Amino acid sequence: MSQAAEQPSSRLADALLRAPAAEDPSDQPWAYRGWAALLVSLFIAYHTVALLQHTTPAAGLAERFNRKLAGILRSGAYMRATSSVQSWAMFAPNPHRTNQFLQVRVVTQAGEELDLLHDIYGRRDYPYFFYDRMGKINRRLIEQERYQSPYAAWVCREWARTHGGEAPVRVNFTKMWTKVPPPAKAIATMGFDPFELKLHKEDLKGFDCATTPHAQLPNDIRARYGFAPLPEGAFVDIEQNTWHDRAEAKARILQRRRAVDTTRGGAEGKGKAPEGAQSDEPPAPEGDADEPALPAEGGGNEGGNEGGGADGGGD
Amino acid sequence: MLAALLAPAKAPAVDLSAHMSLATGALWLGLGCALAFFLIRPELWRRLWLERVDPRPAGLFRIVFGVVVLWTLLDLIPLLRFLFTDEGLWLPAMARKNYGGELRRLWDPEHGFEHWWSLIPALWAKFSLFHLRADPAFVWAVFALTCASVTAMILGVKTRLSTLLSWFLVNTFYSYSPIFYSGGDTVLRVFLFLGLLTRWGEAYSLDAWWRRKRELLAGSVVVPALRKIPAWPLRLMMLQLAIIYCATGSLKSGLTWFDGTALYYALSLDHFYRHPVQIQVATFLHMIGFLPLSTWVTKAWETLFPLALVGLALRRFEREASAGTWPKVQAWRRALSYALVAAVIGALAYVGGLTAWYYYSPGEGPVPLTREQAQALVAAGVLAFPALLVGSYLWLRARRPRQHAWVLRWLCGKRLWLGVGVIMHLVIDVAMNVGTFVQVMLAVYIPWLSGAEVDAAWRTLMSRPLAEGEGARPKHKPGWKASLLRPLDRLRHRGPREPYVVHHAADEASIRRVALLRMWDLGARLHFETDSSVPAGALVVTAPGEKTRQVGAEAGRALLPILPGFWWLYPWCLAPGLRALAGRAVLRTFDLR
Repeated sequence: MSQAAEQPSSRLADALLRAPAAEDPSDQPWAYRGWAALLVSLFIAYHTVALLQHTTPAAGLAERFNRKLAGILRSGAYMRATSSVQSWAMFAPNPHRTNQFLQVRVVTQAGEELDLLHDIYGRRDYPYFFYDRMGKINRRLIEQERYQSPYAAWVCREWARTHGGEAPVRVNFTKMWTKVPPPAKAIATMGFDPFELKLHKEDLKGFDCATTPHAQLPNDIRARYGFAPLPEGAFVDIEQNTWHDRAEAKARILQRRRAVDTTRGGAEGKGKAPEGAQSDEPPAPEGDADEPALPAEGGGNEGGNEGGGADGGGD
Repeated sequence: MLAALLAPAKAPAVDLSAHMSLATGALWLGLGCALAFFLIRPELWRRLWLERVDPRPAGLFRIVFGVVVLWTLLDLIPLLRFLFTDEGLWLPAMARKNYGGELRRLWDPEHGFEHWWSLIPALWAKFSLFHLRADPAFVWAVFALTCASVTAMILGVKTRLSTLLSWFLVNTFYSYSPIFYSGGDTVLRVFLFLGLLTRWGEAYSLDAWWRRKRELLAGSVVVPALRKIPAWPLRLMMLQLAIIYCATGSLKSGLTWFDGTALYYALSLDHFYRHPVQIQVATFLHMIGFLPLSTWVTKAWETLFPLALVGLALRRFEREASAGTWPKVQAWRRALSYALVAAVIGALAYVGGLTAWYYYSPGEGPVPLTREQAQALVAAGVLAFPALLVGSYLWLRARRPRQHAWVLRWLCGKRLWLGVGVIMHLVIDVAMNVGTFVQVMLAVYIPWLSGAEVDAAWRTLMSRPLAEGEGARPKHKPGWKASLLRPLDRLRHRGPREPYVVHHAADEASIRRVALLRMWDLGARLHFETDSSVPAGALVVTAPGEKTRQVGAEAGRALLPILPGFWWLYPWCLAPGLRALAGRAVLRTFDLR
């Protein structure tokens, strides 16, 4: 290679292989200008204020301010839409001082009662390496009783799914707990064996598989597994109240009113209105009539406002 | 926020109506003054949010956080059927009714949406694809797609799109029902949204690599730089972390956090400990006072964590003031902005004092005080605390430069606030199983780092500890002190390792191709030498301490230890057949042979 050709290559090699790393050539220090800066600033201000409003307790003298600010900003909807709902009551106000477990049992068609071993009491392998969400869910069933009915319904369905389509009769729950001894007591014995602590038990409300909503394996899943369909009316559904349900209900009422008007017109013609002309049809469901039976989506550790019971908060 | 925290969360019902309007007005005034502050001082707002910053912390965060997201998802596999399919806990109708937000009204299982635009409010509310369909095949398909999109996000492939898709799909799982949530899941959801706002694909991503490679091979005369990114999403992440810690610290208001028994109980719970034997250790640590002290430190550190943000701002101010780059403003604007800050603190003091008046029980305090005295004390405290902080700082700055430098370096420094956090979370992870909470919390520290700090971390990782007496590393007399200091000295005093020499042909194409290696050489370990005996486009490497040159696939494999982007190929090198394949993958990336 000629010397003349080598020189540019050498300069290029110096620039590309030995020179310090290049900086972003743009000398503009700000990311945005003009309208873009204004719009981004408004969003930042909105997000910041909404976040602060959302994460501060709306209690005491700040309650009205907090509520009004939430109303103006619609921060609840914003937080839900962006999946930023949050609550940070971890081990708050106190860590739990009891170990709680929910024993789950089924009563079969043969009358036998079986423990399904859903609780972790005495059953966890140590060292505890792999996170066990079922342990947390089991504890949550006690802390938030509203989950017990759907859980029992699932137990009924799952039993049916794994037993040829035959549902059990009933699901029974027993709350079990041990109390962590206070430090002074533990120091006296230099610790304690958690499985030697007194196990308290309390039977909770059970659920019948025939009457609990959604506790019956629905026909589409039965078909998947080749089970015979449920008898007519055996599936206990929930009221869904979709736009179509509401439209149908309204149409029914309208139809009934028309019928009543027609009857009344005929009766007036005869000089007398019929008994019970005021319809006993329930009014069409409106707006928010159908509120969730279970806790709304929560944030933090335990969901919504449910972090920590009387005993304390979880992780 | 502070005002609301002053209001006890679980206080007995008290009739507050006499002062509710006044307190509400004071808080509105406080909020108005806080916003007005930035209208008066827009230059501070710009510096706070609108500047452009080095993209490397965001890029590193994308990778680490993405790996935690993927880990959390994979962790759900054993429960996928139970939690999300129609053969699990919820039949879709029940899940939709309870957690589907507006979808439960807008969508009918048989007739679909009433209008096409009903999809918009449905998406705006909590939305999960599983509320529409949840048979196992569909759920598994969505799960696979979610893992693929998160993987694309980690790699930085079509980063904005893959992040958007990841956010949507990950939330399809989280929006279905909250029964399985843990604290880590909430952190994950919240930061994934903030990630959506961040241009975190501008560094350590295939997108950035492809762009820079294209520019370099097309004739650029410098190694194309990384593009700076807007700072505000990263700053929102820092604010979010401060809120998490401050909120959780403030909510830890129970007796156990004050009498020092909280950590003993937390470590003794069946649901968390890694092994029951730990209970003996926890009891011992409690007995010697270590756990009570740790309990108080944890609560104080969490509650005061927002001071880390103040410290960052202060350090920035001091740095720029000494460099003469801090913006000058008219005296009236400065005075007015100070007055607005004073008004915010005044409003908080007023509400704090009233709160004390309503909720203080004269019989319960350690010192006998009337309600009026408690009110005056709290109000004066809220006013005096910031005044004292500012006054002390200014005094130190003017009169005690050494102590001032120490305060800036330590009390206002990230090393204290983040360092305590790292230790705390690592201890939690060793002692308790709380899922991926620890991993996600450590990941969200990365946005606090600067580009220079990330660069320094790579260089430290690739460096060697200096020998005792070498360079600035002191030589200690043998003994227990030397044994204690040795690990710290090894970390503090580092020197560069010997470089890997890349021999290349002198033609332009060869120079440009080997220059591509610099984009992956994060620890600056490569040294380039022109060698006319090397064929054009060939990769020839001399590793440190070796006399023979490696050529082709062997050369590519030799570079693996110093190119972090290829560390995932390490396992390949253990298998005899795949060893050469790993080297060839490196060659192929840089179009070398």
